[in-house]
Amino acid sequence: MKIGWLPVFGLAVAVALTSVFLIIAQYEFPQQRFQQFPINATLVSVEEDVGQKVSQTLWAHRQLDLIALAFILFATATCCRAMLRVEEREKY
Amino acid sequence: MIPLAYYLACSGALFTIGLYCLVAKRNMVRLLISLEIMISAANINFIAFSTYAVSGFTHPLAHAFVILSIAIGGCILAIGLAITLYAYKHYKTLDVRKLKRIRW
Amino acid sequence: MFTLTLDILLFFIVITPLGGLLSHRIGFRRFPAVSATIGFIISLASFPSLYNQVIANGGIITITLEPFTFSIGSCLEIDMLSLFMATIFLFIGLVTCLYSIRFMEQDTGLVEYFTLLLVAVAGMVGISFAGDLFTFFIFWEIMCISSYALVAFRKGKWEPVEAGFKYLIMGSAGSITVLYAMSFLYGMTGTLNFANLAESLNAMSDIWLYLALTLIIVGFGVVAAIAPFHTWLPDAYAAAPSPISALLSGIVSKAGAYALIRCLLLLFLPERFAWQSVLVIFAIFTMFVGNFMALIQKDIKRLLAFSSVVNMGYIIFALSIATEHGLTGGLFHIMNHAIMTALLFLCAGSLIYRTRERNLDNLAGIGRSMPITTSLLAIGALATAGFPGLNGFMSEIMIIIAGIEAGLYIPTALMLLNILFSVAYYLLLIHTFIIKKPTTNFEGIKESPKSMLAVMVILATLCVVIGVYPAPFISFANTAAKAALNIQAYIEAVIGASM
Repeated sequence: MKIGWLPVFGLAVAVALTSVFLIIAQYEFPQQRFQQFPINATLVSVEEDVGQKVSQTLWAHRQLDLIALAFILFATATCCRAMLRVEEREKY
Repeated sequence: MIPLAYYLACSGALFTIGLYCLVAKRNMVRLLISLEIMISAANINFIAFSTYAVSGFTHPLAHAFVILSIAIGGCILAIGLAITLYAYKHYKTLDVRKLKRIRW
Repeated sequence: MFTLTLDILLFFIVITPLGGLLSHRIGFRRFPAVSATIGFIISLASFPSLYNQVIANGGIITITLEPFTFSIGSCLEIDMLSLFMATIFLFIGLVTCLYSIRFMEQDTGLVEYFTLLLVAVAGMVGISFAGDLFTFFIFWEIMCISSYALVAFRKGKWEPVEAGFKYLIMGSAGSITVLYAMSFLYGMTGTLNFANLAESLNAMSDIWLYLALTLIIVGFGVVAAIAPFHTWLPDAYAAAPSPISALLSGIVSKAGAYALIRCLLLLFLPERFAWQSVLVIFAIFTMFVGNFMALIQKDIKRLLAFSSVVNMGYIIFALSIATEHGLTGGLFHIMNHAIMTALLFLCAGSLIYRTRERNLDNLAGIGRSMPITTSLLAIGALATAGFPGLNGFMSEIMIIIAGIEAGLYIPTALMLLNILFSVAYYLLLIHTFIIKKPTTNFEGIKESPKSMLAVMVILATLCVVIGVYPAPFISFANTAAKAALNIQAYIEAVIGASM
């Protein structure tokens, strides 16, 4: 069975990455141990309506990101328009 | 409750699978799907960390990040598929190994 | 909203396609070009007021939207390093736009072209202003997505499509790796604000931070042309239209370098010795790979692309020194190389525009038919080679002196060796174009069009002026470098002096 070299290379990369992850997983993840300011003020109980709180967080605190996201969507639409345009004459 | 390490292992496995597909697969559409798999790995990481910070509570900031990153993933896929369309028109195949007309 | 500079760019992003589509019906085809140029000029004109605002506020301003909770709100934080990078991005964007007016005349889809040009530069200006890692990531994606489409713009031929696909796959893989690293940083601290992350992560060191550090270097290194992640680069720079090649090599790669400077200096300070040694090895490897590959190239744009890789190696080496002198040299080289490589790619573009040839053997002796363009290309080549009296010499000398001061003797010697190597293929370019006898029939080849010539003359004049009188530019770079290393001021601008 002919085995190309590229899947073998991919397998080697995957094995290397897996072994790196396994070595690192021996150490416990420093979950929130670094934080020097409490995030408790913004936590939400799982009993409440999480979706409502998420949208409030998005619109109240992340407005700059939402405006930038609007421009990403506009840029993607322009990109697809540029790529899918019809050329009248075969210049390039 | 499922320990946090299982979620980290899941996202690590997804990232590795995505990276392997990116290197080893031939079909162009599969390469784009592997990008989506890698984005899912990062999304699972965000949600897992936000829920395991304090038990019984979740941090909605991570959910906001995930919503934004899903949108960005969709945009990458859109422009990728547009380029794949033209690659098919020129090369008559979806095999990425055939895209080697550019030499040294 | 955002600052006035970014607001004007975003306003013109909306105006250009709308007006362009409307004026297409009337028959006025030049509207997108005119509107994009006006947008860049007004945006540059609004820059001094922003500069004065930042200086008046002690070197950093923070821009947020009310109500702002400092750990979960998104913000812009503008310090001198951001202003330095934004100046370069806007200037090269303006130059590219002016050049494209004549170069892209015969193409279709000009409305989308100029809109995407504005979007790419707006994304880059947003990158330099961002104060929060996720805002940074969204503007990074704006820049990357628009540049994928700009590379593959002339989709009628096979080469841009192939190069655009390779660039998309590798660039997106890099961005997603950065997103994965961001998820780990979020898990450790609960925030993605640069100032809060800097304060939290500088307290202690952990092995998970090394994982995040590796992923960030790999992810940003794809765009910042670090070997071995640079393989998409020669194909994309060669296949893109020439003004877009100038944009990519001039400022997109510098945006990757800025990302590395910001993230590594702010967030990973305790792991300083780890990333410094890794980056030195990567930089030396990049320089050697770029030089060896450039020596065997026959296509002019591929040769210039590999020379771009070598210069990014110099910049990464300057970053890895991480002292004030090293960073000043690196930032000064970012400014110089942006100007030099834009000049080189635009001159090559003029040659290709007139002769439709990209092979060096077929372009031999073109200096007799297009003397002004070839002499401007010779100025650019000599400047990049480090000829004394032009701008490349000053920045390369500063990096070498900083390397010797920091004690990195062997890497600095290797960098000197690479500079001498690179002189070979720049002299080869000059020899091919000016001294060799023409092999193709260049009858009827006129000089470049005046608008394109004017742009190239401006860039060449800047090369000479910065080379002869570098003092104000070096002091600007020095202020930016001091601001990059001043982490305490960056943190205090957001959190306040109470912490």
